[in-house]
Amino acid sequence: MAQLTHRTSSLLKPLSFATRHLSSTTPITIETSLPFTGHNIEPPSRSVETTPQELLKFFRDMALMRRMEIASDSLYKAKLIRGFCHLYDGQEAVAVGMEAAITRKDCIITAYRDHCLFLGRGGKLVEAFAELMGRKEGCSKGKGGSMHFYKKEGGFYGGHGIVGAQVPLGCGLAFAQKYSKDENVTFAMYGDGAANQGQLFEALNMAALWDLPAILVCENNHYGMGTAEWRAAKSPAYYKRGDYVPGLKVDGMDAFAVKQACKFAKEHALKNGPIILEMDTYRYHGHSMSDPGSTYRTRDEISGVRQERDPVERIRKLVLAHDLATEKELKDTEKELRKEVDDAIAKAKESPLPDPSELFTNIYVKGYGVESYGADRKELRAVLP
Amino acid sequence: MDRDPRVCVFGEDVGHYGGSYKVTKGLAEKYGDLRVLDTPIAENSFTGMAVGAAMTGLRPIVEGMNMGFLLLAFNQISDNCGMLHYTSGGQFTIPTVIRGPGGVGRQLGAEHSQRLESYFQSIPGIQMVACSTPYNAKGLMKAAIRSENPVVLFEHVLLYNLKERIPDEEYVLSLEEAEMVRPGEHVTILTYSRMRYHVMQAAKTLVNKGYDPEVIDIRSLKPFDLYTIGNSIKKTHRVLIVEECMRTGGIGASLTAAINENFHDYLDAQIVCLSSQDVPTPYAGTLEEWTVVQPPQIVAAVEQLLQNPFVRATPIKGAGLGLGVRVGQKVISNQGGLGWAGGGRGKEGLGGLGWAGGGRVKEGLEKPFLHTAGLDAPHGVHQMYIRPSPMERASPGAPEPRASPAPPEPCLVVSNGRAPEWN
Repeated sequence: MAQLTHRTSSLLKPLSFATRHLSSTTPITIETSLPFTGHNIEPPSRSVETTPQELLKFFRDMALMRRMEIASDSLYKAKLIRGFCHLYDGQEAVAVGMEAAITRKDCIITAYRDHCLFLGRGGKLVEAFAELMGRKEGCSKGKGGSMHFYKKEGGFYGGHGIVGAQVPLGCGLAFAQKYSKDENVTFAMYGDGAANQGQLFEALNMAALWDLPAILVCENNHYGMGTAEWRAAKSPAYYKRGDYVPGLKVDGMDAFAVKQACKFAKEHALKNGPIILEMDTYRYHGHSMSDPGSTYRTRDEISGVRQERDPVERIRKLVLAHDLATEKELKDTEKELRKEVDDAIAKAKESPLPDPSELFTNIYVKGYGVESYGADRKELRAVLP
Repeated sequence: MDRDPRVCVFGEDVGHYGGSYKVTKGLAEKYGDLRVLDTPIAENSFTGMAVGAAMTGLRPIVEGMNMGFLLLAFNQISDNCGMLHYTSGGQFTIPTVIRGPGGVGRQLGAEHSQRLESYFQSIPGIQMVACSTPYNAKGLMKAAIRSENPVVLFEHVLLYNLKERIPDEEYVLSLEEAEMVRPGEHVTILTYSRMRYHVMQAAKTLVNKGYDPEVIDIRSLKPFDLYTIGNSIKKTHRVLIVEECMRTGGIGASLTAAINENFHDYLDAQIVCLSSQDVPTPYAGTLEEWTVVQPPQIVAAVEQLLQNPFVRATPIKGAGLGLGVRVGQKVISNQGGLGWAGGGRGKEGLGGLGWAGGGRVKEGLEKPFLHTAGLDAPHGVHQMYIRPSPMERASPGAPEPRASPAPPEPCLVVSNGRAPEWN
């Protein structure tokens, strides 16, 4: 546990000093905070190419996600969100970095900590809040809830409640991608708790056997609900657990490291089959809203990580260091995002609850009834009510 | 698979081996290894993979080498296959077909003789069908593949060798329709899968005796084709369900409830449900025979139903607790309450009734656990709601045993297909 606060975020001197009037597409090279560690593979380089536009976008996206999760926290305490609510603050760098490395045609599938990934894939704030509050305008029409966010057009396949069950699904998505020969990959995300599930290794075996373009991403926030990783796993080096499958350990609090790793992984998966990425990250909230998060870890630890490794702060410092915006501008952006989130919440609150008849819709496709015909093609059997 | 390039098969040994029951023989040579995928032995995962592939638009067919193995994939079938369409608000359809042989075979042992239809029937979002003839199998399979919903197709281990003339032209059957096997007037017999053949065998005997059973193969296990069933009940007013599922929580139990709710007014008699015993299927051949419904029992039950319209197929108390019937005991009901079986010949002392319709027990079968008492006894081993006999409870402070309501008329004793005897 001490390791977590010892990461010296060697905040990077900008390699190219630029003025404020930097064109938004001038490339900037940034070094990631830590080198990558590879298992059975040569890790990619630490230098990441980016542009000012991308930096600012990262800041904006991450601040928005952070704001959304904190707002969800208050909504839950106000009993507008019920049931389970698993918050992602602290882990935003993974969502944002991954999104930057891939296209909307690549698929992402994850477990229940899915609010921010949904946003990253093109989900709207209103849809997210409405779904959390169980309204009709939600992305799953209010019938899924916090753990079942999906966005088909965005290539976001959810949103799954049962720990580990999404990994075989992810390998299935990769299978379909290989079947239809489109050069896309699937990121199947899971946590350190799910890393001990048998079906993960079954799926990994099959993905490796058939060279499926599947990238398994372990978001290691070091706690599986209330159990620390060293208490649950004999070998907490999750990137090595794949054995014959190469793995890469990435600092999950550094969006650029994540971006570099995902780009590298995509290239690898398209050529050579599956790869495991372990994102070393941290969540500030407890496992879910019913977990205070402090019974199994100290507040010092949480605040330590927040001070030293916070992803949003890292980007903020980068932006300031490269002189792309002033402190005040960033604060204004944050205020603007706060307002955006509040507006979305207000709009979602006004959204109606689903109709009672919606209880029975979408169970089967098109109601039931397959048109069927006998061998003489003339007789059409009646479709049952 | 010819018609639609998105159709693919996942399963153990479906490719090069041709399928453990040769269902997918020749497909791998024709369509390649990716479309007919030999999976490792990881049911949970390859079912999950099929669901994931279906989410993107492929139409996978998952073969469980034996239906019992799909218990390992229950989470994927229930949560992901059945519920994803709903929880995603309609965004994803899961057009999978999950199929495999189930049912009691020839001494395959307990774990390889499971009837999963009873476990899967509560899963919302899936459709279940059971095929029984080659004609059915082809039509239902085609319909299942073309359906946008996840369909679980139950085949039976012992029915793979059937031969039948089927039309050359293409045909598709409806997934929610039952098949009228033999129209009749006296009693509706509802059955599916292998029990259809036992019923037809019993029907021959019944016809010779002058009865006219109507046999319906329900085919669609979820949802039930209450239209066909209802029409039949309105005609015959008596129902017998013959199934291979366990008594507790099986398809027959659900069907009984559904018919009672919907067609109560049309029933002249209590619905009789013959199901397998609530036991793990034993290996020994004779025991295995007794776990499943056999044609003589079907004949006996029909006769019982038809002779006495008000018969109550009274539960066999105590049987589940291993108290068997004594040799040669003719069991009758009396006005005492329900008590332990094995009360002796109508002895009042131990609280009376053993069983209605207990039947004569074969000599030598005194072992308590053989509560099925041979092929003669009709089924109906209710293991619920056993009340201790008055003697058992006659201790100080024990509440007075409640007098049970007397049965309306003396119950039948039926033995071995011969004419029933009145008491």
